[in-house]
Amino acid sequence: MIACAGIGVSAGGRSILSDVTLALADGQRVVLMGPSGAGKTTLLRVLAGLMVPERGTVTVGGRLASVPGKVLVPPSQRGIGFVFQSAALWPHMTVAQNVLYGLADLPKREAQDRVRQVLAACRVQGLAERLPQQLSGGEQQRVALARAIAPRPRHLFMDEPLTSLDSDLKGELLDLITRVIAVDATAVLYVTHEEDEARAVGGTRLHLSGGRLVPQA
Amino acid sequence: MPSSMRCRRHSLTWQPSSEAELPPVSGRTWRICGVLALAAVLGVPMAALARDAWAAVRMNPETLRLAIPAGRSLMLLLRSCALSAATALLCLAIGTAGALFLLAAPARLRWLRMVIILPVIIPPYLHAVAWMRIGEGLRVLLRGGGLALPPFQGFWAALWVQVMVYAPLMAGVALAAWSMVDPLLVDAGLVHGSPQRVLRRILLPLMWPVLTAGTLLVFVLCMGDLSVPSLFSVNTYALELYARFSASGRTADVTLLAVPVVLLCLAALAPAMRSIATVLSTPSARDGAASSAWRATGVVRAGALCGTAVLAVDVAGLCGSLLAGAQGATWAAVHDALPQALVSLRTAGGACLVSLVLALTAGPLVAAGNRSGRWMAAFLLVPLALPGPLAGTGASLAGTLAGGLWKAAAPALLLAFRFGPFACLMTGARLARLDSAAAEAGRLFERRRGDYVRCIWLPTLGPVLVAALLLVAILGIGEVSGTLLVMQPGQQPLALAIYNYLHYGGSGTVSALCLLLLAGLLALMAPALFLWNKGWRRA
Repeated sequence: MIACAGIGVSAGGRSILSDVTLALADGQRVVLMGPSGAGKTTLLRVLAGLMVPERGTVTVGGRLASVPGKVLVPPSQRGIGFVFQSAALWPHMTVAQNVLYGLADLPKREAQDRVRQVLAACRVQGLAERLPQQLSGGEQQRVALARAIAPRPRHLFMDEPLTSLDSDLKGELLDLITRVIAVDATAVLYVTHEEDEARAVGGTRLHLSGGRLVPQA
Repeated sequence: MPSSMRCRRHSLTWQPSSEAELPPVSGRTWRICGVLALAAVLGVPMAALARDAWAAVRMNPETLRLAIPAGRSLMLLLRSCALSAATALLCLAIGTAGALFLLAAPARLRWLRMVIILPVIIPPYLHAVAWMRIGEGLRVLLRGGGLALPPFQGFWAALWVQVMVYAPLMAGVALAAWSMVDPLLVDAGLVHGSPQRVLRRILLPLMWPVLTAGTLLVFVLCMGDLSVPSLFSVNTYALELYARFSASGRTADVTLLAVPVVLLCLAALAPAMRSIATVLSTPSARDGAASSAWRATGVVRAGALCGTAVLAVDVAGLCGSLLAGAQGATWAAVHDALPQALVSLRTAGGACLVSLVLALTAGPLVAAGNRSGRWMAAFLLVPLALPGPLAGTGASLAGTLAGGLWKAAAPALLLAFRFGPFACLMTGARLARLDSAAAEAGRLFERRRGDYVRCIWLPTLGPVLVAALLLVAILGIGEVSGTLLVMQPGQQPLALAIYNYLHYGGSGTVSALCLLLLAGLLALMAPALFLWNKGWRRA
């Protein structure tokens, strides 16, 4: 389980998150909704350890991971996968190398098998040797999903992963995401402001408004 | 998002826009103006050098042998290459390490970035003065303790001083390289790996093209500079060019002798050109967003601390020794130097005016990124690859070829010839990054003639343009290698006066004049940095 309690973040004198408390149990799906600038991405970054909270704490598996002003457990040790709004693929690495990066703990052969497996699951197996610049937007987002799930994370964070895609591609990728996350029973925290995406992912819905969480029916 | 947009966002090198229709006049007029300006300022000295060399070869084909390094010239070329390559590599290591430390340092220490980068504006021979003094002081100190040190002279002393000269530049380049890395790429790496692994596998590879460009630029600057090697009694190729001109006055010999070093510098500059343009147009002290999550630890932090320590020693040594030395100087010496300071300002001001014309006409052509733009950019590389003494020779010959302006204002035109290309590349890089849709909207909604230029074009381009011209002024005020050959009687600039004093003694006076020069450069640098930063944030 990954959880935060009383999280507060501000920037330039403006409060972005205020007293946010959230828990994501193993295997649970949570959809976080809210208007642009509501602080959804900031909350994901604080949970992932990419940002330090000003107030409140983050715990991972019952262990204190972030306290005000300090990250105690680095992002790479929190057991999370992250799909960013833009694919954020490393341009100097091939598709296979992008996915392989997170598998450094596995023996080489096993890691390569896992890369083949996730690329096939995300239907980009034929693109393994291509560079990110040679891929379309949809292909890049599939590779980003493959990279995030490759190390079998306990928690998968997805920050509006379909925003930059057209509606046909969106439907196709949404279908892929729901099938992929069902396989490993990974806990998912999915950020979106689209109703159809929230419906497809399912699970608990939370609404972030004015930096505070409001439970939805 | 279309993949082409993605490519541009993730690319580290400069991606010229194909739609840089931003100059306020029509494309054809602009192209003609650009070509004429470049021909007059950059083309004439190069043509004069080529014509002179060709005439000498036609008269005596044996002179062509000078272009092939052999014997003494080969030895000098190898020594120059060794000194420049060692300087560039050490600067890469120290500058990058220093930048990594500064980036991982807490926010309250951000001012350190500026302090470490600021010595970039100090001409090489001022560093030499400071380190000669420090070396001598160290010798006296150790002699008192019964330890005899050799004099601070020769190859290793020159190498040390050159590293101190260019390491701040490399630190600035590394900071600029960092600021160009998309922060999300670092975040994505941190989710799956330790900070050290992110540094090794993601950050350094992404910064590498810009770091390589910076290293090659340092190599080229070292190859063309004669001031530090001459002060430390090291014979280099650039010094040989100057000595050959002084001894025989045969300009064709200098041109032919310079061919190997020019080819070498062009070969080094060509692949790095686009990255250099990006580096030059990026404010080096900008807070990279990527630094918010990345923190160096362990070995990286120790190495980075060493890099910063070396840079800090240079800054402290430079200021300390100049202040200590100046105490023995008389105000009369400083007062006497005021006319020379005025000559420096006048020459640099002239160079800025000429560079403004070059930047406004050639910059948009470079930004267009089409075939003629690429030729233009390649043409701009040539003056950067010429060693100072050869550029000076070209400027002295230009008067005989073109007469007129080149005869009347050779020192200012020489500075524009040497440093004007920087202004063109900076302007071009800035224009290539402007949003063409915003520019088109500006034209579309223009209600009165001139509104577009006044309200859109100048405010977006202006700060970078002014910063580029101040850079030309700063480099021009410190230049000696070429000015030595075109200086007119009674018109000695301050930098040359200092350089001459260094050879004849008068250390207290030298220190006082150095401080005068330093104060002038700092006064120019402050608005340059401010405008550079302001211009970039508007991009």
